[in-house]
Amino acid sequence: MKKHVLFSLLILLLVLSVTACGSAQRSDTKAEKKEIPDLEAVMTLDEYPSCDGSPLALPMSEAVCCALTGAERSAVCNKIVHNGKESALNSLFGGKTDIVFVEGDDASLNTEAEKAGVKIELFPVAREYYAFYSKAELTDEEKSKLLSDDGLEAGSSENNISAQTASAIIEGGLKCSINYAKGYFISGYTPEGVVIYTVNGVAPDRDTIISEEYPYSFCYYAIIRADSPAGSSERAVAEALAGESGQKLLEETGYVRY
Amino acid sequence: MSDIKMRKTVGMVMTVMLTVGMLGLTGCGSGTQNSSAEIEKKEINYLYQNNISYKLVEMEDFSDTPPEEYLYTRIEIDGLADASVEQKINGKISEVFEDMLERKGAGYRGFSSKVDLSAEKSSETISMRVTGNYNNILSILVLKNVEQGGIRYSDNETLNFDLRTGETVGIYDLFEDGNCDELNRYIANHVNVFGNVYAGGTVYDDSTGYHMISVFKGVPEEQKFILNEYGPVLLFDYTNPEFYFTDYRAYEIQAGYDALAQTLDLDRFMEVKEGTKIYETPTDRIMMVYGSAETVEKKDSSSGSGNEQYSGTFSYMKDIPEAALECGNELVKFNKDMVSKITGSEPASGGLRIINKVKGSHVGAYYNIVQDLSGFRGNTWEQSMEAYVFDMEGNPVSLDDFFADGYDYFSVIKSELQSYMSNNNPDSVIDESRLNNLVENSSFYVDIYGLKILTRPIEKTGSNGGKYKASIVFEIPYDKFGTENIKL
Repeated sequence: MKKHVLFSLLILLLVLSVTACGSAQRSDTKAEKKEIPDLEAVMTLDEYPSCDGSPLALPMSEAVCCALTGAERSAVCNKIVHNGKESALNSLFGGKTDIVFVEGDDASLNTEAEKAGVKIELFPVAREYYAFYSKAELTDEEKSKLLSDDGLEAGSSENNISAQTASAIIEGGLKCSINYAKGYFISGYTPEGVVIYTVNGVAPDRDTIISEEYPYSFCYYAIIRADSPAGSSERAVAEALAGESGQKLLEETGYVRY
Repeated sequence: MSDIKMRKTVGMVMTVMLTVGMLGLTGCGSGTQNSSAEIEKKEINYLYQNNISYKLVEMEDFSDTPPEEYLYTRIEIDGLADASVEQKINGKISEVFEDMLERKGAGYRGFSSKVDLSAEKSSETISMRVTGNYNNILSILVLKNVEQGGIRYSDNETLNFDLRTGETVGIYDLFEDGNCDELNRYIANHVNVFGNVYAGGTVYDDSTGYHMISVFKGVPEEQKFILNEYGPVLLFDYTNPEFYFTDYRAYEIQAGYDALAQTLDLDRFMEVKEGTKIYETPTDRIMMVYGSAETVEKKDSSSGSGNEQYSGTFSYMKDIPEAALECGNELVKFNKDMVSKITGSEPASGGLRIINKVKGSHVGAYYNIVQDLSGFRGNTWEQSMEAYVFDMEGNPVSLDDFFADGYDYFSVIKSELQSYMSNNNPDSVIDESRLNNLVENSSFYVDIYGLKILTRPIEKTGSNGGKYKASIVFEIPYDKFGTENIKL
């Protein structure tokens, strides 16, 4: 009988160690994950570099300024002005602005800087993507047309387009009810009835955008002049944003990390 | 330990193991499964007007450098039974007014780099307006408009009071269990206007000057809003970081009661402890609500030849019953009868221009079709108005149908018409048979605060002494009939 009892207790211990409401597993997982520290305030608002950029980069620009200066959002919002990508880059090249936050690709950004006779340093900080959507389900006629234009075989999966179709939509060559928009519009509350398309069978989500498996992603950059000295405020901002704490801040702000 | 005891012990251990095992498989309180019960769509057809009065108090600017032109007005309320609650509300209103007066600039992005706050103000107005006053909620919009350094900007605050307690009401308090999901979806549909997206930029609404620069995450607890007769109006400004404004003013989104019927719960403010008196003079004055905040369709038609020119429009709110739509379509078509409707039996001489406006509105549980037919001949203007009312299934509604069985509405209408005519045309002789005839041949429609009565055209005297014919249109508040006599 004692053996029975011992045996039962052993089984009990085994079960408890395996299930244990998952809490042991969660704490182990937690132990494995290193806690990433928040960005700390290291300069005053007056010391913060002059900045500019595109409107879509405003949330990141404001967030990093709040974090690095400790200033309230209301004070930061009043100070930071983004005049658009082209204006911001011109301002950077002309020496009127210390740091800009814009979306694009490194090749074309470097080319523009070269034309202006300026060397720049690019810090990729976040990713954005194009989402392809239609405001409602396509009609049968639209689907047939898409199938024939797209070269997809009949019976291809619903709500998917090829990369070729996606390119055509962006270039404006394909007239159909599918449009494209910056990806952040489909996160949060999506309007009713909107259909989001996969591209080459890949859905846009955080993982597929970071891995670039989803083919229509691009980057946000923090850009400074290459001759910005070490220890300058603009270099400190760019490096902070590109680092782990900055990436954490960007994700909390709603961007996809680089 | 005896065998029996041992077996019991083993039995207990097995039971515990089974329990633990089951917990492990199902995930230890990983969450109860929410059943997706179907939510019954409610209808909000009417509300109760609060019986308070309010006045606008004009304030002087005693500062050293008042603006060149200024106008400051704030509201004071009166009529609550509890003086301390009334004092609390008036105190809060004053506090917000003073804060608005002290405020420098506005919190829009980049504001201080564009606006010189040291420059003198050319003009400044701070105004308060009661936008909603029902179901024990008082809703006030505080608006500040400034011109300074050549730039115009505005700022705003919203105040919503629970008249039972004097406490302010937040947006979450309007919804069952604070659930704003229905509201958030409505707003997302509105602001994520995919059709306005520019691939290289942001969502931009040309008519309002705002961009969406990040995803709409839902309304925050401190969201600015007011209530009006259509429903909640949300004000988005610099306190909403998803928005980027280029013209330094707030953007309003009207959400209708029809869009929020599942979760909006204004009736909770009607729950009052027995024996509690909220108003000095209690009342049950009702107000109907608009069924929709949107005009869906507008049809124009014009025709004419020779001496007659005709233009007709038919605009209507959504959810129009089929029968009402047919009625409106019929009324907007030109026909010769229209001429005699306006001019009586006299043939038109000289050029006659006819303007026919037909409007459909969903008010309370009813749908109105109202025709306003006007004729212009030289300097003369004549008019005829008539209305048709339907229930939402498309059945015509008469006054007999609108009021409770056996209720003598005729006498009330006749009495009100007599008062109106005496007040507006004291020299006219009103005989009993003429009065009866007018009432018998009148039409009506359901409006927010009362029943609108439209008589057939009668002769009137213009300010220049000239005679013309026009319908009398006047309103009888619902409490004149008594709420209990109306089929709401």
